[in-house]
Amino acid sequence: MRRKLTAVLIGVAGLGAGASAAAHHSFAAEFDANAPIELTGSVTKIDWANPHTFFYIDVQNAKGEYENWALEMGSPNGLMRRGWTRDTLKLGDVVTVTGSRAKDGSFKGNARSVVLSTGRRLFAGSSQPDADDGAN
Amino acid sequence: MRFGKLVLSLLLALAALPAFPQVGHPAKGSWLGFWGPSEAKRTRILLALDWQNRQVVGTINPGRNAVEIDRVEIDYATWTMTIEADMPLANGKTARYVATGKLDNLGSWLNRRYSGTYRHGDETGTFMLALN
Repeated sequence: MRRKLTAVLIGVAGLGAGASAAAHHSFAAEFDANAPIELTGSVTKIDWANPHTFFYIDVQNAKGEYENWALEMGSPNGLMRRGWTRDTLKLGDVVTVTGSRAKDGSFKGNARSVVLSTGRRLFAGSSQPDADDGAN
Repeated sequence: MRFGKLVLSLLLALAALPAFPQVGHPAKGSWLGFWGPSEAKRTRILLALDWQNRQVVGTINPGRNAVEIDRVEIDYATWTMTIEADMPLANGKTARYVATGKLDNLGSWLNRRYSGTYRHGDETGTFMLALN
């Protein structure tokens, strides 16, 4: 009986661990280092979460249509080491982001650096292997 | 017996993990969409709502042109939410902005909608927002 319970427990724990790990991935699995992006837009959402912090910006394309881009950064802890605080980005701030686009062509990217509305430039803790990361 | 309690505790702890994202008032978050008098004349709108002191509070278009919402009312029987603010018109004057709409898909964290009609001064129109 105890052996069966142990097996069930290990199985359930494995499922739980798998759910967390699903959000973590290598740069190459999702982003294209040969598809650089430079986007300027206003922040519409900030999601401080592990293993990756995301923020979203509204970018107007050449036709004047809005594209809402999701931009991935490093973990909250990693960003703190690069000078970020919870108040660095605020909704409505206009920022410029450089990074790499998602391989699937969606409005998603991996941010390498962010120029804030104040003009300050911060590294985004990119998971890109050769990225200049600015960590202390 | 002690082992059984340990198993039960761990299972409960694991079950609680997916529940974390579901905290807070259903209206809380950043809502993104369009509003305007017609399909051809739509304006982008961002609504940042929070739940403070048992009240929904927030801002329309946070940033340089931010407008503070000064009244929010929710009919919880129908999940109809009305928001009001004094918002600038194109001519620089300010007029009362009153938007009334329904909150839909509340069971979804990623696909919630807030849509309805608004009046801003003499202008009337519709709006459609999605939880960003």
